[in-house]
Amino acid sequence: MLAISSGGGHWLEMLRVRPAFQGCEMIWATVHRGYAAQVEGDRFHVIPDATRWNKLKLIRLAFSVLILLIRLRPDVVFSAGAAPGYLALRMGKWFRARTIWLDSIANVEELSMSGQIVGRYADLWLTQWAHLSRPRGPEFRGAVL
Amino acid sequence: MIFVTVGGQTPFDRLVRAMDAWSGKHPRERVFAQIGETDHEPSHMEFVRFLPPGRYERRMENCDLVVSHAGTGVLLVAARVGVPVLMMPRSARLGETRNEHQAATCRHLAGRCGFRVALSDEDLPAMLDEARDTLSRPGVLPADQLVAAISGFLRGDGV
Repeated sequence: MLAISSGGGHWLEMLRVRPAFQGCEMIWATVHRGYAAQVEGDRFHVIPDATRWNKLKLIRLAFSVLILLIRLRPDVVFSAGAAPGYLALRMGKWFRARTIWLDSIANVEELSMSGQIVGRYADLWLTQWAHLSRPRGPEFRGAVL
Repeated sequence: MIFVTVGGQTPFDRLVRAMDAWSGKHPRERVFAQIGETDHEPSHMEFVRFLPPGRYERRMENCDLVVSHAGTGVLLVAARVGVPVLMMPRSARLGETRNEHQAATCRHLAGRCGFRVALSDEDLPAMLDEARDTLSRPGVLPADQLVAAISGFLRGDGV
């Protein structure tokens, strides 16, 4: 299972649901080497940081996520955001991975941009706010806080 | 001990000033602040500008109450460590952040996980006095419902 996100809150939210991954062979990927200590014992990869505002960095990120997927061939791809997660879920589908998107709890008023467009590539598409859930997804199934 | 934190990226003058003033009036309470890029240098409380992740978490573990901006990063660490939080939202109108998402966070998260809200620096002292009297450590709170949903999906239960 590949758990991949950008830094800060997105990363912390993935750690909050870590008990769900018990028994999975975990590979974590995020943008700072410093986070490795928090998942000691599991495999860990650093990916370049990028947002949708910088196209060149985004392409570099997409390339390294693709390499990661080719090398690891994960059965499941999980992300709590943002750009790295979107790219990993979308390209993960090329490799027939099952995909989980957990939209960040910071998105209270509306789904994140990546959370909105990732919906069609997410097998489990989650928002952390009941009032943002819709009949055709995303679903509300609890929150990290 | 009270741990004040405003995050690493943007200053939060109102919160730091309010806590510095409060600290001046409560010399017996130990207050430690992480103030980031804030201009105002506190004179009544200990402070640092930044804390590396490990030391940040230790500060949280060892305090009785966190007073912070309404950033989800702070709240997530506090929930993991099990410490109560009094949060004050940054205001976009005052140029403290880009939009009013922190006010929305406060509105929706008040009351959960031992979180309380002071809407402005004027409310902060009274809310803080009340929080010190009434708040207890919520204890480490697992995200049970969400964890069950995700592990259910991984096991292939009807999703």
